[in-house]
Amino acid sequence: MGDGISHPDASLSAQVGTASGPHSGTSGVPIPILEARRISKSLGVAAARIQVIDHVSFDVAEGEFVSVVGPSGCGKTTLLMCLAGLYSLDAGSIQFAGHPITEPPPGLSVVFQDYSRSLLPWKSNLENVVFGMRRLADLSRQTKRETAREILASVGLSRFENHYPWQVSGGMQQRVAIARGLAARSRLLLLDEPLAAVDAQTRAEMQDLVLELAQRYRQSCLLVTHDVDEAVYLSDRVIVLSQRPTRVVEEIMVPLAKPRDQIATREDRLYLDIRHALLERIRALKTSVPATGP
Amino acid sequence: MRWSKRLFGVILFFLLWQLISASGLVSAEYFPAATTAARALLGMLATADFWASFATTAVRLFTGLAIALALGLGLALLTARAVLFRRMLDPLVEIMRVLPPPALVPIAIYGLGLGPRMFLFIIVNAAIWPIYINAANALSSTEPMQILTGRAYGYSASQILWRLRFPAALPEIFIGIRIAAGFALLATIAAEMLAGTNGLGYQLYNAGFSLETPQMFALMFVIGVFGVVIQMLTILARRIFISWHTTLAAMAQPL
Repeated sequence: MGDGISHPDASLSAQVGTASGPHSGTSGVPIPILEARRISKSLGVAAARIQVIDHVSFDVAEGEFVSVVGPSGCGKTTLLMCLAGLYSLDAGSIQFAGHPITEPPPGLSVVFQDYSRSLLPWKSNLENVVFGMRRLADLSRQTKRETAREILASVGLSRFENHYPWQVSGGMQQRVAIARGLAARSRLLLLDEPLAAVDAQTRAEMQDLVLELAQRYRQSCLLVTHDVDEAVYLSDRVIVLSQRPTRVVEEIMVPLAKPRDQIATREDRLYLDIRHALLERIRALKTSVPATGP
Repeated sequence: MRWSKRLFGVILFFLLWQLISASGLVSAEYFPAATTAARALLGMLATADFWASFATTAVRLFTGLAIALALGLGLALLTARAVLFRRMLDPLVEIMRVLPPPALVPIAIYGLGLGPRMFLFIIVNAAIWPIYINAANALSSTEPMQILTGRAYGYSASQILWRLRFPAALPEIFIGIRIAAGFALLATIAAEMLAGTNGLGYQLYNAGFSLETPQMFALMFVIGVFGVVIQMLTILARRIFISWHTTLAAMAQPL
């Protein structure tokens, strides 16, 4: 790719240390920011209609980082679209910050998997990030542009803020899309395979950046990914989905020390055990006959 | 390089024209030599009459085009928010858009007399449909991911129309404008020939049927060049308003 990632500045790193942990409830019980209750969703019309999500329930606590993993094609993106309020539900309910979701709620933003088509080709990278800050109505346009500049700098794109998305590489486009999601300063960030198009080195740096920024802005995160290593490294909890019609088959807590470290964390015995358990679980799902939906 | 090649074709055409008329194969009365037509053109350009006719035609054309643009875009934006309205409108549009401009001249005269409104009616009717059809199609085929993005970041339906669907549709809208500009010239000249008392079309009609063939060819040349200038203006406007698309298209199609 050729461009370097600027190292996150010292003040950012310092703030990470003082940020509050995921479980902010006084009694030690996590306060859920997102509650999915027995949600079901089918896609397509008439004979081509297939059930994608089958009675899925889970919570995301305030400040928590949760990953959803599962075999490819199991309906992870559909699930995320439902959680974002972009698809209507066939059954069940989703509550965000205590209110049922019927349309995309304030305080929730999405980084789409299809980053190249979700970026607007007539806007510069900077203006694309500003576009994501629509709900920060109290900020002036100037302040929004300043904030967008800072966030683009933190994803290593200072030199490309005035380029159009189609003038930069796929990996850089993906970082613009992540910057747009982060710039909205949402309480909950939904991330759909946000790092699929970046090279391994950049990917590791972006993982740390997402963790740092999520903590800095006290954001909860829900990550959809097929990459088990990434899920374990980033998360407080990993949810495993079955093949379509998808169900929750397992939830695994990831009580690894924070802040995470690309070398030390990945050599941690606990990290390796969780990774092992998850990989075995997913392999078992792939070889088993998919459950037929009702 | 490209310009000299284009110019070469034009020069070759006039040379052939000159050769054919010099050979005596065609009647000089009906088909004057290129040099005769050129002399007539130079003489014409020196008269105030010609420039008055040119101004009349240009004002008719650009007024008609501007009204067609406003109405065509307005109609397309309306149908973008009301799909049912579009379903009702589109069959009518299909009929209106294929009606040749001269076919409307009699009914326009009955309804609007011989004044400027008659001309505008014919020009607007010719120019509005390519603008409307291109705009309506483009507004209804926005990349779905862009609309999802707009919704996810809290934009309302009307904000999505103005801030996403409309800018995304601009490249196709400009194609519509370019086609409409050609249709507008065609309609202006046709209406002036059939029902005009002034303008380039009227002058061409008169010159043609009073056997002033050098003037007739000179006027044909003027109208042709005028058409090229209008096309170039629409391309220039496109470059100004959607420079991003010009660059993107150039990247996709290296010359």
